[in-house]
Amino acid sequence: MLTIEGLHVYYGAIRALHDVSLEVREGEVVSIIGSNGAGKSTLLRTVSGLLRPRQGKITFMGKEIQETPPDQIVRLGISQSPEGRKIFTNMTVFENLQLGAYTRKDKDVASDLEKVMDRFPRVRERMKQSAGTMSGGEQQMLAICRALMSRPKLLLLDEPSMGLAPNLVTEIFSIVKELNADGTTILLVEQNAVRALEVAHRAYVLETGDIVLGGTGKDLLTDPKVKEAYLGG
Amino acid sequence: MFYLKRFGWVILAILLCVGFESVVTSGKNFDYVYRMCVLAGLYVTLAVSLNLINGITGQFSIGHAAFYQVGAYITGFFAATGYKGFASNSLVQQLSHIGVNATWTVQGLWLVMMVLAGAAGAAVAGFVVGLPSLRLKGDYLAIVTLGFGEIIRIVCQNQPALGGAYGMKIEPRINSMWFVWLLAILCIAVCRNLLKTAHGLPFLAVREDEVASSAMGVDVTKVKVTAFVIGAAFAGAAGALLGHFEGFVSPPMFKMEVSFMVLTMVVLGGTGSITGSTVGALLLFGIPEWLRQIEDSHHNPILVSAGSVLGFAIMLVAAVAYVRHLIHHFHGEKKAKTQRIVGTFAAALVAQFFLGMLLNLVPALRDKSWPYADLRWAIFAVTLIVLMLLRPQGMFAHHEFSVARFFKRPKEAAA
Repeated sequence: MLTIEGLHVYYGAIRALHDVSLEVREGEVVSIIGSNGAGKSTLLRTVSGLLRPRQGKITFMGKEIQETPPDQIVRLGISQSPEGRKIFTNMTVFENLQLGAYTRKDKDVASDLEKVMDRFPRVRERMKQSAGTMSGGEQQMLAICRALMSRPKLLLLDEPSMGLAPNLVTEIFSIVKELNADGTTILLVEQNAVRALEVAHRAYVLETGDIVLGGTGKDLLTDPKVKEAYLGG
Repeated sequence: MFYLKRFGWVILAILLCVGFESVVTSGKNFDYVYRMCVLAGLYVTLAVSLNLINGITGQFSIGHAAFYQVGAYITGFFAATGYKGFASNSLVQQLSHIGVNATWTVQGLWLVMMVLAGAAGAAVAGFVVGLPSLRLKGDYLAIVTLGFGEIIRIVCQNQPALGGAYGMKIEPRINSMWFVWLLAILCIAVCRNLLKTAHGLPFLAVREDEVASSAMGVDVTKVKVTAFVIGAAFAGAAGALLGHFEGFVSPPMFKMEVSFMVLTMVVLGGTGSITGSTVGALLLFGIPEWLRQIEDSHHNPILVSAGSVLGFAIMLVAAVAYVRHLIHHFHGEKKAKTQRIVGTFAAALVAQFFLGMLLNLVPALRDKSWPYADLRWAIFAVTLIVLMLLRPQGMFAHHEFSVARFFKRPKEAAA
């Protein structure tokens, strides 16, 4: 579904990603783990078009998208829940969700909204509330709901567990599993390596801009190198 | 019936504007009041259109006078070269028999054309300024727009074809108050409809967070440039009306002060609120005019007492609003504090009243030529500072005025 080949991304003179290649197949959850500054978010931002690669190819469903502007990429079916949530704090929850469906002109938006709300009852309760007044966990859920409203074929999740209490982290990951079971392909970027590897069909380890390891989630969970570096021995 | 529903408010707006004009023209002191009403209408248009760029889309632009100037100069240019030909055109001559008054119809047609031309010219300028806004944010964009404003003014000042520092004469002068207010209402309506419909959400989204907006599929570039184009077009249309009202255009009319004044109106009213911009424009334009009576007071003591009565009324409204606010917030637990504040207000009211009386009753004070008459702008500035300190988010914050909101308790209103 999504293929990345030989991707090089720079911030000015600083190299953020170096010759990254990976693949996401339809129906999968693919996790990318790595420490701070490894380039995980850079990778997602490049896929969603917010950053331009210096070199390399990104192919989504047979179409090269590395030069496509971000708003067009959303229309192709890639939706992102950005790092740090980035919800529109001064707008109501409902307006946030409306903006999530901004690219859609069909009539199913209302019924999709219902479906999304059924999955996230806590967001439904807060419909008319200004989004900035919600708790961190609720905001994260809203960010995911908002990304779902565009009916994505591929969902990009950037650090969904960041800054959340442990029980909420569990909730978020069970949601990731559910969404995937319903047929959404997910590319997940996480610092919380154990959780990310548990939900993933396949995973990659990113280290200072290079992919150093790849394999199934289970394999990586038991890999001695990963264990030592990310899972605490 | 359908058309009445759709366009009923247009007819209503025209009737209101024409009625307003006839009320003003029938009153005493006609010249001064008429002029103030025209300029107030132009400032409302400027503030509301700048609010679209600054408040709603969040692009910090402080060169609004430039768009105003582009509109005015385009009118100046066309009036100098084309008005006579236009008036003697056979088609226009035929059309001129339609209205009540032939001159009136010809001038009206011309004015409509000029407003459209001014708007189009300013829209192009807005597009050009909108382009750097794609790369710049906040302070940096502010500097660019400031520079742009000065460039336009200085180019006009040094261009003999545009009249240089003297400016251009515009014939004929057209007293167009109802037209000015119609434009102001149109500007408010366009901005309001933009916000109320789904087209408006992307503008607000860009203000909130550009990255998130583009991640939602909003074309941030398009939104920013659209905001600049629409905002500039309304300023240009206002400029065209200004040119014909004044009968001339010259560079000093479009100094940086105008841009800053309009910006202050937007910020004071509450960035992003259309109601706020409108009220801000009326207040900021009105207060300095009202303060003129300090200068005039030794000629006309009645004005001073009128001033103190008006001041009394304003204070009363402010006190009522504030007490209402306090009662809702504290529900009696902080009674002492409430009483203290009410007491302060009452004292202020009494002081205000006595000041007015003193100015009137004591002959020595009344007949004195006030040496500090020129303090008008200083008082104005202090008012602004106090208001901003007390309410930094502006009078209306980012809300619009609604009757329901006014009577709601603050807590419900916030939810």
